[in-house]
Amino acid sequence: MFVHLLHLGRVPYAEALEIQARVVAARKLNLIGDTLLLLEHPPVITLGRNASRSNVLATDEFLSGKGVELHAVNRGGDVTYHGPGQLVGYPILDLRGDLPGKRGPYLGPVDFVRLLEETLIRACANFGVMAKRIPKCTGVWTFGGGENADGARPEIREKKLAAIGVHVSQSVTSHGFALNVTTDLRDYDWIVPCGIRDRGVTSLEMEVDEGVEVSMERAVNATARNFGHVFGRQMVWCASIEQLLAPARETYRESQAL
Amino acid sequence: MPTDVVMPQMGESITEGTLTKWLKKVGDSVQRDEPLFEISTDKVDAEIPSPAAGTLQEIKVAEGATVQVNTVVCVLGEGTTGAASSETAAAPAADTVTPAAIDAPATKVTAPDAASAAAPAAGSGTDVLMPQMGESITEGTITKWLKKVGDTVQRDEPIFEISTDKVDAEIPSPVAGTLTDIKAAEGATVQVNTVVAVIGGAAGKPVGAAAAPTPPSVPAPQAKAPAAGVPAPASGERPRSSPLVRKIAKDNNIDLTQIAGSGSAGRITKNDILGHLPKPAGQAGSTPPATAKAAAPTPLPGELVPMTKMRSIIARRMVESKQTSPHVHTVFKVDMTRIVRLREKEKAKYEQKNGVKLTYMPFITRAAIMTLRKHPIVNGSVEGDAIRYNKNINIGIAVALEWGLIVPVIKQSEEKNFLGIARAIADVAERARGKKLAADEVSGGTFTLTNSGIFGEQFGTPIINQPQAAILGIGGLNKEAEVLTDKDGNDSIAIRSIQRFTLGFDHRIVDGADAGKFMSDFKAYLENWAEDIG
Repeated sequence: MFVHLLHLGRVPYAEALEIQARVVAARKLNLIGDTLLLLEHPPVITLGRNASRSNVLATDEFLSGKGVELHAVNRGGDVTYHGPGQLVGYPILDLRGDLPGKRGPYLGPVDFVRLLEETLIRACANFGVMAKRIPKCTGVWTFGGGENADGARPEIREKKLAAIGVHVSQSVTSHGFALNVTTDLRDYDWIVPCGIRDRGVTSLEMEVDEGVEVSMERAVNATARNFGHVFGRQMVWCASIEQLLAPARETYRESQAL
Repeated sequence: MPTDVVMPQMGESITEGTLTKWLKKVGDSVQRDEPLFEISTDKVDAEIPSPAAGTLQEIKVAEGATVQVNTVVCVLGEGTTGAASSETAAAPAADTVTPAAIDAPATKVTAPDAASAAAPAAGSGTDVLMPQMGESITEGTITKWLKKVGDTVQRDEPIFEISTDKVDAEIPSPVAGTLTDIKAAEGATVQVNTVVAVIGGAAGKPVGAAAAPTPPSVPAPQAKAPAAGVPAPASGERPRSSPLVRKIAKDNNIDLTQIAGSGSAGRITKNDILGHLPKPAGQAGSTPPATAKAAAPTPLPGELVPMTKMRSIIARRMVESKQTSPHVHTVFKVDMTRIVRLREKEKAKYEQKNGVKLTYMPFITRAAIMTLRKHPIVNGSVEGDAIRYNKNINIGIAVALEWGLIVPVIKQSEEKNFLGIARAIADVAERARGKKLAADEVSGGTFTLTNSGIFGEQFGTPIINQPQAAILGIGGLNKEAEVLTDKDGNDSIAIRSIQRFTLGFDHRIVDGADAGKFMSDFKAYLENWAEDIG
């Protein structure tokens, strides 16, 4: 049991959507196996299915002046930001497959999200960064700290390390997660991430102890390693999207020839 | 022209029904679609509407009687309008019954005894349920209908979209047919397993005719009111319920408006009303089961709670392996001194000559292959109740890499000689590190080698890679003081290179004796290495 692992590098959002769509289509037809796409985007703001435009704080003029695109996409969740230094993962999995925690004919999409969180929490732990879930706030968060005398509200609020938003169609997943590795966090000032106003965002780079090296390559490896561990699969690298889709294309050609 | 009214077909495997009550008596005039009588079968309680307008002329089946489907239960005389007269006897009855059955979505919930849900009784309609999105998720929001009432849908074709939390999912149709009813509007949040739509058979004469009561308008608001135990019937009207529920209410003098319905659209189910019956023994009132369910995910104090469960889910695969096959481990100590010396002597020129480094792995792998040939059961796998003796020996070698553990497989390894194995190992190892393995190279193994000695362990107790029968754990290679006995029986202590190997095996198919023989042969092969290494 394996998952194709493909690192696409830095890809403009629209182009990545197109690549993702091709992989999803091939997966739906069962021409390829489960796949994890890992990539980065140039600065872009995306609005999920539940997004409120008021959570984008910057004006359109400002954003276009900065070359920041705005995309509405068919994933769950609110508004989010992607940019350089952020590891984006698009797991394209068939939830009907042999997956941990599957009870019925398919793995519950929300259970799938929990597994993604688990993957990222473990990846963060590999950098010595303790991370956790917060009920009702999907994503991966740092620990808060300190408490007021009345014990009501931690003085240091949890911060978000990774955002998650998933789409499922014909039991095949798309979209996925975005882990801040060395992201320039100032860009988050343009939005209210995920519509959550009372907690900030952070990155692995900001959270690690001194002397711990944080790089995209290490983050890619840690994410892939933990993804394989959590989902119980071997991670098999693929050199390019062409190589990944080659069997699919062959099948297509054969069907055209008939 | 009199019309025969027959016992309707309530479901595919339902052959009879019990007529629980007549709602009209002989001489009464009835309108088309006006309830005539109530029936109850396996999972369904339903009011059966009159197929035509007219006067009830004759009742042929008494209350309480159980009759076969299509038995004539009463006869209607012609009324003022001969509207239905063109229709034949059986057909209209069956036809009109459909909506009635659909109108009784309590089916699942009412179910008196859980067991065998004989084909969801709803005549020709298939209920589409709000799916379970995750273990602790009790509800979902319908964001969009991709089909409308009257549309034909294919099996697995997306019919609506839901969203919970961070997930956005298209829900496919469970069957092919015509979407005959939408019970929850866009934007409505409904409980898991609530009926959100009904799909009629392909020929699907949609609801049209009779089922005035149900249509799309009913949906969301009540369903949305969660099972929190709030009395559902917001409108001061008679709450929705089945005849059975009403009978229980009447028999026990219970006011139905005081009961919170947990069924679709606030319908009061049998369970709901049973929860309101005075109980002899204090079985904590079986109020809506949904309540209990909704209560379950209440976050416990301490925020990391879900992780424990997650760990167990992830660990389950390994536990599963242990549950599937009773693991037994046997550890053998192997004196590798001979091989260490051979390798030291040969390694420099070996690489020159063959272009591949001489490591210990080909020795161990080759010994395993040669021993597997003698003990095919250890190379077997379990398929159901049978054992497959694999023709080929496909050796998986676990490799830990930065991006995860990977187990490339050397297929048909029995056809390779020592050098072939050495090359194959070097090749897969290099390509694994270079991210160049193909997907089909990591599957199809029949036996696995795993190196548990890399951190200085003496030996491990590896878990079998299902469905393989066994796994060989390679321990650390260390110098140890050994007692040697020469051929005259004199003991001496010598420094030897010692390595421990563990065979983890599936005790269902590999006996302890098999494993012992396998390991002693494996040990002998290594200790008395005689093979040409090329």
